[in-house]
Amino acid sequence: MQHRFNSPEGPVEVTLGKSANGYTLAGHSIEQTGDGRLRILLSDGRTSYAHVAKVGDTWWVHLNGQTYRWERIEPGASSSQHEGGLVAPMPGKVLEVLVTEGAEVEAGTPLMVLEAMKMEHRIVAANDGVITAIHFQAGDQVTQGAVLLELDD
Amino acid sequence: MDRLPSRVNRADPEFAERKMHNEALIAQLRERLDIASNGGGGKYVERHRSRGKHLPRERIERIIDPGTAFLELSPLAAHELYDGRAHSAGIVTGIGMVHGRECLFVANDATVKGGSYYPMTVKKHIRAQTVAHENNLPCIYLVDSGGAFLPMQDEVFPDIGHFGRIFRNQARMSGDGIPQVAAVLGSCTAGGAYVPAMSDESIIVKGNGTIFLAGPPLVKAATGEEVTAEDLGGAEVHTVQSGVADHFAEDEDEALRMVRNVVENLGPRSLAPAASSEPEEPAYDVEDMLGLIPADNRTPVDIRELIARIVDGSRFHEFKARYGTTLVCGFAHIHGHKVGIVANNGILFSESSLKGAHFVELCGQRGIPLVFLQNITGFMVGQAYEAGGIAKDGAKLVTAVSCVNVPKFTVIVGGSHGAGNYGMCGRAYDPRFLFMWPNSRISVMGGPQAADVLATVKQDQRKREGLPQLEGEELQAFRQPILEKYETEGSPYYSTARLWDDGIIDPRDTRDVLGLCLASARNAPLPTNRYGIFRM
Repeated sequence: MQHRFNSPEGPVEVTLGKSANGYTLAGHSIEQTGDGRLRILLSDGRTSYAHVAKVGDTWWVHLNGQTYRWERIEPGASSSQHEGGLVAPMPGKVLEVLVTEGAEVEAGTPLMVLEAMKMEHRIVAANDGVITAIHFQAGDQVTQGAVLLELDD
Repeated sequence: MDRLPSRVNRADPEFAERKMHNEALIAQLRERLDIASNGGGGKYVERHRSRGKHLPRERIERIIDPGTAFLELSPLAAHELYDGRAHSAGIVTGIGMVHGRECLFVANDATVKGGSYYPMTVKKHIRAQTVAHENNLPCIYLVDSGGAFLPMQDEVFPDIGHFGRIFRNQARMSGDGIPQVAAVLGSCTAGGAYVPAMSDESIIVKGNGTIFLAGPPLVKAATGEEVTAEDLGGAEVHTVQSGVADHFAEDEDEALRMVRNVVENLGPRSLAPAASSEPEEPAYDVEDMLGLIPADNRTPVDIRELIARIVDGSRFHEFKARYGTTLVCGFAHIHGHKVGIVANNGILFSESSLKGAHFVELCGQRGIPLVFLQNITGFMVGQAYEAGGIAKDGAKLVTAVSCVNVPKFTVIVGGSHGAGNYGMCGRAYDPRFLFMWPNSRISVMGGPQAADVLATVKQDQRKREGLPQLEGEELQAFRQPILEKYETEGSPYYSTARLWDDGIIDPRDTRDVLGLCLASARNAPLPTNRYGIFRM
């Protein structure tokens, strides 16, 4: 299992292996003790103990009289949300056109509002760009897949 | 599992508007809950206390393990029904921990019409028993009731879901090894007498507790015999002579302590196997939910933003993220319990239905409980979709949801309309628990759509009869009452008053409520999967 942390010395990547009674890390091994501490057995035979606490994504490690603060870098789930092309997601009626031709827009700007199936659907810009054409006006009926407007990046 | 990203913009004026709107809805909910928790209020509560009795919620508080939460079910049952005075339908039900074990409580409120049973009281009592039966939870009945509300006897006495069912349920649950425990803290008359009599073990309190099939006035009318309530069916009679009750308590506090002792000796329980991990708070502020939930259900909300504020560490392993995108499916943990989440992110198309059916089957196969987050205006309509077979694809989802063996939990987080309610595990699909948010709406279709449909039917009828078409104000006068009806009946309060759900909850409490429900559900073993025919 690979984990990434931000330490005061910069980002660190560690790969933990699982052992019978704990974890292994580059020849060293780590076990949890009954009182919640971690027993660290170094490959050279030395042993030390650590206390760890987690607050949000930050791990506080108390080891040999020192406190270390490491921040876990969470892998973000890939965003599956397609911000929608500039086509009608389903048949419906244009409720509002929020931009004019030639307008410069940023990614995420709402461009048009469609109404269908009791819902208001916002058509938003997928990227920064300029609106080069608007094919429908408020009140128009549109079919699924109809290109509503055009955006040049 | 990877963490969901969040794109919340707290500086957006819309965020502030939504937050204000939702805070007002929650304030209204709190106010209504406060009123309900005082039962009959005023002199009724005073008189009750003067007899050395506690209110039902205080009784439960004294039985459950200190510092643990009581999950009350349908506290706003009978809201605005029966002159608006039958608060909580005169009965408090819910789940609490006793000696580390989830138990189902049913406690009469004698300050509300003497604890008598209105139609909704019966429905709530039976619903609580259903929860106990489905989840294998020991039942604790705190009895203090005069029995059926006589003026409405036709709605509480004879039918399958009426008074008699309560005792039948006790017998069947006892048969299934689910302990039935009763404490008689007040009167227990007529049908009510069977609650302790049908229990596995019962307690009666000296002075206040009485059990008899007919009270002193009825005995006098029937046979002329004159007898006091205490001599007729008091604690002494039933623990020394009749054996109707097992334990004699000097006062109410002792009776409540005895309930704990009884539960302590129920014997071992076995929990269903479940995948779990160390619980973790969501990575994003749960408070954001109030700024995310739209004021109007027509405005879509990215359901992942809400999921990210319900599940442990905001971690979510999405299934088929790029296919049928209007239904979001994926795995997560809630308070350490692994769950499969099925959540609407738009209306249901054929693809989203197929994906949902696949995912539900997956969870059934793996023994992972399902959480449905409902925000659905319905299945897509229109020629192209009918020709594409949306009816059979919707049917696959409904079949999967109906037959899957794992515990299901439903939260209505927005709209719940049409067949969307069915595909997303509405009340009829036996979710173990179903809760609503204060902003939610539930009806077969939207008000304006119903008004349009009915207006079209009316116009066609007039045409056939050779009458002129309705226009202008006339048409408006026809539509208006329909709109108003749907507005009233779509409210979550209308729903919760009638026990269509298990309560309205603060959206911010969703993860805690689901956590308690998931823990409760583990008490029952999983049946095997047996699916109906999937129409291909």
